[in-house]
Amino acid sequence: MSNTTYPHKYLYGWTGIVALSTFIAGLLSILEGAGIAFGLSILPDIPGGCILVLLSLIFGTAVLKGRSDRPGWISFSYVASLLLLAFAGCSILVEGGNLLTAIMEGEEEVNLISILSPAFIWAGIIAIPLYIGVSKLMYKCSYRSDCCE
Amino acid sequence: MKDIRILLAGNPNVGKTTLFNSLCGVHQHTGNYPGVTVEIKEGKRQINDHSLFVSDLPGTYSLSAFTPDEQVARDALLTSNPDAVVQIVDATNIERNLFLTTQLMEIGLPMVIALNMSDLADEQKITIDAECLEKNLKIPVVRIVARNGEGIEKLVDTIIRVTEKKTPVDYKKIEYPHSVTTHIAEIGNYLSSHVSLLGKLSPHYAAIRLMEGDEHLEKMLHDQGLVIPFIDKCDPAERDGIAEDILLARYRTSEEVTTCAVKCSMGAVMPADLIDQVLTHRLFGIPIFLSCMWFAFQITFSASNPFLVGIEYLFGIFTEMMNGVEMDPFIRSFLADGVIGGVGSVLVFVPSIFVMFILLSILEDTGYLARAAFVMDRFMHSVGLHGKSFIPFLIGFGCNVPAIMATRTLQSKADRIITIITIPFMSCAARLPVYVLFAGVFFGAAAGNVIFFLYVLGIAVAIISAMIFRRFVFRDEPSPFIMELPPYRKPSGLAAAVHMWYKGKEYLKRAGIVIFGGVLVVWALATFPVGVEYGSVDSLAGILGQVFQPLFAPLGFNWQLVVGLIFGFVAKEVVVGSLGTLYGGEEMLESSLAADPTLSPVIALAYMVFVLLYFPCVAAFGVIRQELGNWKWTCIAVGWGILVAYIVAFITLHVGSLFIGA
Amino acid sequence: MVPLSLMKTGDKVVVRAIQGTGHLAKTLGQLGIIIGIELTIIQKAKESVIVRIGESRYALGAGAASMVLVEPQI
Repeated sequence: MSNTTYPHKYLYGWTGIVALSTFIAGLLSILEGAGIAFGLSILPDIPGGCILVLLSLIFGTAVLKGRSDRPGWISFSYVASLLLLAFAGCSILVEGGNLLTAIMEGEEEVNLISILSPAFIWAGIIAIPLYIGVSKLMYKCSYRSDCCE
Repeated sequence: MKDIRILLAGNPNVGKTTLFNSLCGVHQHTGNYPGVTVEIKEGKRQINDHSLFVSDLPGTYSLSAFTPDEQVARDALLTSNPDAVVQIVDATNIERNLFLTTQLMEIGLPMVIALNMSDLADEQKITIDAECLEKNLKIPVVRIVARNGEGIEKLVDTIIRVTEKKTPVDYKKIEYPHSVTTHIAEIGNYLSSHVSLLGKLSPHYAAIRLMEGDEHLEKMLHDQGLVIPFIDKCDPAERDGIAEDILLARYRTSEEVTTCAVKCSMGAVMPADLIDQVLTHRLFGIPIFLSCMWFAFQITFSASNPFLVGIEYLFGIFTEMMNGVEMDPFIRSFLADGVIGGVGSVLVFVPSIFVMFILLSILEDTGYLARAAFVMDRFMHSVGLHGKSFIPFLIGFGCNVPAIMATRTLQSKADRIITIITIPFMSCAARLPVYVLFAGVFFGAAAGNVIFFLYVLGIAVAIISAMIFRRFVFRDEPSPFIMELPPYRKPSGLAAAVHMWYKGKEYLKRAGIVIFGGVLVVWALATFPVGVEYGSVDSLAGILGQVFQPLFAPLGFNWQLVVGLIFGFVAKEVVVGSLGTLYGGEEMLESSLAADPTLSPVIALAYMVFVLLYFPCVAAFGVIRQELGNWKWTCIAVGWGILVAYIVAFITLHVGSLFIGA
Repeated sequence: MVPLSLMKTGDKVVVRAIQGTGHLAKTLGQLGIIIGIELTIIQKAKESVIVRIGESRYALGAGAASMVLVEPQI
């Protein structure tokens, strides 16, 4: 585990960035849902925003844990990014379903962009590199190489 | 031509069902939640001149039979006299698996061990010396990979070979402490003069079972008037001690065999441990779970919507085609209102049921559901329910019938009864069309909130009911929560789809026939006696509604709504169908409801509340009766539902009218 | 000896006694949680715990965890 120090630092820092971006994404969804609009094309969604804030708290916990114990931050960062990506996938499914329904019902203003409006998707894109990096790290640090000679 | 009957035994979640599928070439769903197989499944395989009849037993850790599914397994092993027992042993967890082996060996049936190298064992590069295992236990061991069918042929050959052997089995002996051995011999000797009472058990094995505390067997022998030496003179504390000695001896045996056979052990920390630390976190655990549920519901509704629109579109075309053809008005009514209406009522809820099933099976496959049960245990415990009750509740949102069957994993009878009584308050997918109709007509833009309120109300009523039953009927605490957590797995889309198809098909078969039949009966009641206006007051349905209507007058329901409720006993989907019939056609239903002067938003709300709570459906009723095993509790369960529904609907009507203008 | 419910995440313990009626001991025994066995605590949420024995993980609710008396290993 000697040459893993480098990516560690980057991934740890990236966790902090993702924590922040996820929090902002959640906050924007909640504010849009409460009727305070910023003119951004973000889906107003109060429960969804709360979930994003929850995920940002888990990322935040990862950052705090990283200061003392290493496996801890990796697991929090891994699970949070996994959930974020899974939920982003779910959002695409939900919006896709709504869009398809709108098209089939022959609504006039069908906006293809609306499929990308959930804040989950934007927060998710930022978390993709983190997920890839951390999942590799997770397996490396958890299975000891001396398991089977 | 020779018939061979074999039993598949093993711990929960070791790949029994997967092996069963590849043996018999069927597609039973394999879960990643302990206790997926709750009843015996039977299958058949033809090899040359042999017919192999395979029974897949529920997973069990031992033969002591605490839960109903374990009892099923034990009874099959002890009484059905199979030609051979095949135990599936999970390579990642040999020691615990061998504990069951030590018990199976003592029954004295021909045995084969199928050593399953699961994905996980590969991943962890576990190496097992199968020959050493075989030599030690003196039981044939066949290495298989259940998931891709590797080694199945060899397993079948070994099974045939074992059953053709004429010599009695001679397995490794378990070394009990000397005192235990002498008592076993003493009891065994005594029992050999009463062999006829023992059924398929050998006297020696019966003696061991008595020593380890098989109350079932003991009671049976006492009922026959036997005085069992030693056992009957023992005090309970001493007997507990003996039972523990036997347990320990078995563990020592399995440990000893494991040490010789397993060549490699694991590292200190495993990925699953790390993931568990987050998913079952004391603060994050419940919010994470609620988030998953929120998305599951979102997807269920939005992803099934396009299918619904498509189905409606198709039915529009059908109706138009019908209108273009000349025919007798009676036949037209039968086809349009009866047949098409009936098929329509079945089809409208199919997409959401299927989506619900696929989401649940994906969640289960990942191994997360068991963690969710753990996370929810504290909360469930505080309202008088068991943590494991939680999964049946979740399934209940899809359909109450499998939910009630899933309560078999609960050990204590009180826990099971309370769970079964409260499951029908979980709003199953079939109730949704009723809400969609009434909330849509009477609450417009607030419909979504009203529907959400109904789901929450159902959960609240379930919680309050559970608390009442726990406090006033069963005064004990819920039994302690102990559960194996399955390994995490990547869910496979294909497996989930197969599972969805299988479950959905089963559901369609059962519900489809009932609902379709129900709608046809409604049509007949609305049409006859011949000559009356369709669905009018003078039809049979109208007369029926008017007879019962006074009962529901305090709730403000008119006779059409009452007829809907009566048919709702058959299935909740029929409610919308029958109202459609009574209000002159499904297409005009929304406008006719809105125009009916006897209805108002508050009455609609009370009606939805009543539909939510009063009675699940005949299919669920049948399963409740089957699982509770007696009429007393079945009647209490049903009576409680109707009582609660009446009270809550009454309160809704009167409190609601304060807030919602008449 | 300390109840299992009082241990922390990451502790390694040896089971020394199981209190209460024989039923709980039997249920735990089926899963391999018997006197003398070593457990690793991998999660602790209030009084509930998740323990690991070899390759298997078991969740114990607060009630069950407080009945299992253990001795911490150093």
